[in-house]
Amino acid sequence: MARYLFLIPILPFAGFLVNGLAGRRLPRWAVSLVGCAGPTAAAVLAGLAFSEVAAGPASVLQASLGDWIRAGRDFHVPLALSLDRLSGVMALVVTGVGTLIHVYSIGYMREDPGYARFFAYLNLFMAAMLVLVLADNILLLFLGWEGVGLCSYLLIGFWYKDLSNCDAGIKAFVVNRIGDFGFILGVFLIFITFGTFELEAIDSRAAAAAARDPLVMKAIALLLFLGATGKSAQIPLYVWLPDAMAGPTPVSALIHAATMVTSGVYLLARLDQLFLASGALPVVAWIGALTALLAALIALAQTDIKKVLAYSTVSQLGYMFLACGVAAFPVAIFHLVTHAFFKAVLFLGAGAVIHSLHHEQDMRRMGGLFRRIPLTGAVFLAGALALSGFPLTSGFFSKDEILHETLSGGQGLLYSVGLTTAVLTAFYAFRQFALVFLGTYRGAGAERGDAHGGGHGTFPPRSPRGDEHTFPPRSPRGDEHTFPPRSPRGDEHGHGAHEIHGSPPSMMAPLAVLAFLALCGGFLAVPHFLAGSGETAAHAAAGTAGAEGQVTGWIVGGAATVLGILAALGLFVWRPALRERIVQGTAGGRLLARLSLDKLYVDELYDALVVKPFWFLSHVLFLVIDRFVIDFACVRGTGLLARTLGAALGRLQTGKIPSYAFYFVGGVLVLMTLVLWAAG
Amino acid sequence: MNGLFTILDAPAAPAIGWDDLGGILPVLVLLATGSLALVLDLFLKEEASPPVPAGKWPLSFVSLLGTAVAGALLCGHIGAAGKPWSGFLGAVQVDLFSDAIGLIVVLGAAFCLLGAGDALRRRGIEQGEFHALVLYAAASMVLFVQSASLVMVFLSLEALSMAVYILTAFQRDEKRAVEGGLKYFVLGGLSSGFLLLGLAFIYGATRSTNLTDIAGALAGGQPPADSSLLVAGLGLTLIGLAFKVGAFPFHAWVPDAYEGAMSVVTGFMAVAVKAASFGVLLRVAVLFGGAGASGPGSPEARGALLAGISGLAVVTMIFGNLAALAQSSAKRMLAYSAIAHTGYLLVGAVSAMEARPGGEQAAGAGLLFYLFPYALMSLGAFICLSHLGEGAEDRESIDSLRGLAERHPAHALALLVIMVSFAGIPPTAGFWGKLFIFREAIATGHWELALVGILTSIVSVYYYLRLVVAMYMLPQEGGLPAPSLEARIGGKLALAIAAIAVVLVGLFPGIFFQISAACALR
Amino acid sequence: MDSSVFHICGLLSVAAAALVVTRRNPVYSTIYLVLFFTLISLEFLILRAPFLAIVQVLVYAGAIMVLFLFVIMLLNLTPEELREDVSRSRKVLSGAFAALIFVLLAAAIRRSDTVRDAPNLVAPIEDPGLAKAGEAPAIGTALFTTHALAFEFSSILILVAIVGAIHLTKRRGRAAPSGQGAPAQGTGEQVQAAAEASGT
Repeated sequence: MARYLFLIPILPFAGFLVNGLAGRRLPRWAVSLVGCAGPTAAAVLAGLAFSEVAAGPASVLQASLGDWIRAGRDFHVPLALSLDRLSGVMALVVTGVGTLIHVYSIGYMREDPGYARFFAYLNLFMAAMLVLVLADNILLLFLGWEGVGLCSYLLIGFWYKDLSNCDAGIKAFVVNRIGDFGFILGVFLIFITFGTFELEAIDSRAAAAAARDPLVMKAIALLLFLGATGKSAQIPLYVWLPDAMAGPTPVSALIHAATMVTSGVYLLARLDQLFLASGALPVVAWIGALTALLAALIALAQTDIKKVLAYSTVSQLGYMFLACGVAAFPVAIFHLVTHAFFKAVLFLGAGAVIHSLHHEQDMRRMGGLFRRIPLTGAVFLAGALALSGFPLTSGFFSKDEILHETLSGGQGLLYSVGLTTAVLTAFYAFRQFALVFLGTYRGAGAERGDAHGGGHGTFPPRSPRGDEHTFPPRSPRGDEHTFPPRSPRGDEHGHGAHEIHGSPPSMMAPLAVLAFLALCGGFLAVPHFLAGSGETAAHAAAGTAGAEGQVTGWIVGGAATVLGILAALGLFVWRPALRERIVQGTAGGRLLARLSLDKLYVDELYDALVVKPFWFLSHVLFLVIDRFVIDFACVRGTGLLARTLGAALGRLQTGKIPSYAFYFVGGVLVLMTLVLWAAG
Repeated sequence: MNGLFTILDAPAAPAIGWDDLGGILPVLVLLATGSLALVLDLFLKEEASPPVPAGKWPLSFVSLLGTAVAGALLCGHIGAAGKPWSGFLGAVQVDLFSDAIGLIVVLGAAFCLLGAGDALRRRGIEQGEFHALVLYAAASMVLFVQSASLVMVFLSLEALSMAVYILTAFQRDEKRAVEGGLKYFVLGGLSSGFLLLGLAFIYGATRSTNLTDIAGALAGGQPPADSSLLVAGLGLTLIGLAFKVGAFPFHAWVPDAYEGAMSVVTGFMAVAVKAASFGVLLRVAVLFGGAGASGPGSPEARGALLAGISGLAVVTMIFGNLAALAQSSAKRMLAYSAIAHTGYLLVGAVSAMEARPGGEQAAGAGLLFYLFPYALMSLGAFICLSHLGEGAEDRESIDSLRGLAERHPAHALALLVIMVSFAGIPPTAGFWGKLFIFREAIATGHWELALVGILTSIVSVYYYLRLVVAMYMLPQEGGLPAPSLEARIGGKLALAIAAIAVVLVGLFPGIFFQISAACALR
Repeated sequence: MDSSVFHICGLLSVAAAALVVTRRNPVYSTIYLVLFFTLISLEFLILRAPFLAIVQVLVYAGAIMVLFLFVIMLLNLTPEELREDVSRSRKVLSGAFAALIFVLLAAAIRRSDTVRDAPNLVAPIEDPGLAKAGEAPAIGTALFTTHALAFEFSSILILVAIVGAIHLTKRRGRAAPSGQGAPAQGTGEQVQAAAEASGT
């Protein structure tokens, strides 16, 4: 199997080449076939490879294509992949969820003129993500890391004709640069410290290196973590992810929820020994917990269906980092896996809703959709339950395991932050479900208006900046009316609502599979499986805390979830008036709603603290350094000098043979003198 | 060991057999193909109407086939990692180094022939002589690098020079071409005189014409070489070779000949002549001035060569880059840039002299690696100028390239890649070439050469990017009419291969560096 | 015979060479060149290389110089065309450079161990092989053994020169270089035409 390891990333890459080069000339079905075949085949191969690894106690599959870069004696980077249990799980998630999302995209992107381009990018993303996951050394990992960043940028700005989409793409790219700067410095330090790029070697030598030079190890860990905060949207670099929702919904599901944004978590889990030894874990834990809380707070009042999910993703990623921070790396991966399932369901379900409503994304213009599109509603409900951590769903197990690990690690404060976030999570998840699926329809064509039970007016009016500015609710494709009314199918009974249509089977089938996984994925017991291969000391200690702690945790966690759900349903379905009173009537409620809707003013804060000063500084530097020193003194000056010299030298070139011969003989004289003199 | 005795004691029975011919098979293939092209031309009719897309395609086809076979033979030899083989009673020595240089020469010839079809057709001089001369020149160059005897060195150098003189002036109705060819010829004669004198001195000092014997004698130290004559001879030989590679102050022919010749020929000259001459220069430098397994054979010769080559490197890098700044013709600019690159390659030669046999650094790996991207870049650039030409004119001035990105985006992109690579900006092949050359120089203690190289490289960015600015940022004004490039398949192909290869080598430098290291002089 | 003959011939040949490059009239230059070649061949004779001496006279002083003279006469240069446009200072400087290079090389030769230890020019050579080394049989053997490849390859050099000469000088049948007008004549065609002409 190891021989075929390279095929896993190469197959999607081949799809990228075919669709990227010839896609425009291929018929749509061929594009779909090519686009989905690569990921599917990769998924099968990854499954085979994984089963091979899973069977053995600690076997690792490795494949090498020889040297990628070789320079000098000690700098050589092999082009090698390796698949152990950790990367196997990741590869399965990437290929599995990825394949389902590819299939989903067939329906979702059907009418898009950039169909082939979309699949090409998506395939390229898969290839890069698989390189990231399977890389044997950190430099190759970095190649994948940058590759997925590139694809993310390309896909966020997929509808590039709308400038704000491009801005969102650029924002993502630039914010990630900051993280990557840290990452690459970390890689340099790693090479200086360890003299190798191989992940396995780095990890195994980390403890010894930390004993030798703790400061450097801390620096390495923090720099890599900076990279992870960029890619995985943590404080302070999370701001790009909500804007990244400008991309098509399958992209949001695949890249900005299920896979790419989790690569920071993967990096930490991959180098777990390094992080353990470095002593930087408390920073990781606190950043994770705070991000989880902050993003959950912001998610409370968002009105865009995808933005809620985006902040929810940030929040859930915070949970994963929290888990990493308390040294429960397998648990972090477990949550990563379940999160991939339920967040993919939610995003794809949201996509189906958006698709059904002709690219309406504002939840205030939705409502009561459960009756119109019950299948979509059902899968969305499954996702929301899992996200909330409703007992026995996948999210329940993974989230509670994180909280359990936090508590048993003796981090009471972190635990309470996590628990609060869990309540908030359940609240916003069901607020969203209620706004979209329950109540009455408030969108265009809703005859009954929004007199009772509607969401209009109950929220603070939109801030004058307007969300539209940074985030267009509509796709710029302008082909909203080109969607033909779907033929009546099971989940729609087109009375008076020919506008609201269901989604094709190519969209619903992946949704159903993912919904099943979201509900039942919790029984996979990923942590125990992973821990079998590389149990960490801290985790082993935590594991002995006993089962009763776990059971208590389940009860507390379940209660928190139910509390959040009931509160959301209470305020948004059963007692809207009460919500009104809280939001309008009390100062605290107003403030909270306001802060949450305006995303805690973090963007403004960054603008004032980072962007404006930076802008000023760069302006000054531009005037002083660039205009004066560089342009005037260096470029003009040296350029003039060089060109004058050049022209003078050019004058030697008279074009006459006698002069040339003369120079020649002069040269002979000088050179012979030099040579004879040097010989002594 | 003693030249006179080898003459007298030569065995009566013929010691030259089929094996010897087999050993130089690539050379023979090239020669045979050249002659075939000459004969084939007799049977081809030139169509009366000028816009014949195919022209005398069999000429190009046959000669390209010849280069392909020769290239495949050389590749096969490299792939088999054969032991050094000496043939014709020691007149030639075939090793991986000569194969690698030969491959670059054949590459140059192939690209030249690929682009030559249109270039000749446009000028109405599509004749078999051109193909024959290119192939003869290539054969002579391969033999030049394989030469293990001073006599062969001189003869093959003369043969290749003769062919290139004629190729320079091939467009004989064009004044500049004939002028360039004549200048090259006259100055070439002068330099050959010095070279021949130098070889005679070396013979006098070592009493042998055979480089292998000389190497053995130098290493053994018995009898001690006549260092005074040897140093003088090496100095003169260095002059002859410095002329061929276009090092300052023996460079005067370069701008005129490069400008006068058709651009495809210029590319061939810039690549093949330079590669072959550097091959021999490196052989001579390492043989007489290398660090040696147990110290240099002749410390005086080593000191003299180090001083001479380093001196040439410094002044050549400075001169080439500065003079290129002031050019308004892209072709002339590239000619001066070729001089500048000669300077960088000379730095590689200096580092090669420091390598000890059996040591970590193979002599000249950096130089060999540099030659390959340099070949691709030069061939691509000159073929592009030819490819975009019209009638008897190539697209030569920088102004004529203005607005190219709009009219021919693909060509502009290819030229952009090549210019970026010339300037040594990552991740292109040119970056790695410079990196390896300068790294070798620093590793062997010649940091001052690396410093000059890096500083002059910075200067070079200016003039390379001028082309890019013209192509991408300036509007078109007047100039040549945009030619229709549909029929010019050869040039298009050559340009595409060159640009893609530049990027590929830039992305995977490791493989090529390993090959270079394997092929370096032992 | 005395070694002084060798030295006198040497000095004379240097003088002849100097005259070759300083004469304004090319015919005079050529005549001095003939003299130079003859003196060189005398030197070869004294160095006991009779074959080279004969070849020097036959090929260079004979055939090539006659060719040179023919070309010069065919060109029929006028005094204006022969006017030199090289400045006087440049000429003096060039002469000085040449002299300095001469001095450098002479010094190198002077310091050479080989030259210092060389036997007397006119002393008899003991080694019978060495004594005959400059004669035709020895050279012939060398040409067909050690230097066989060089000998054969020189034909390629000549072939290249012939192809080039024919290409560069052949009849210009075209008015414009655009390919219209009379069809181009390749070397091969010309050779063929010549062969036909001589055959009939």
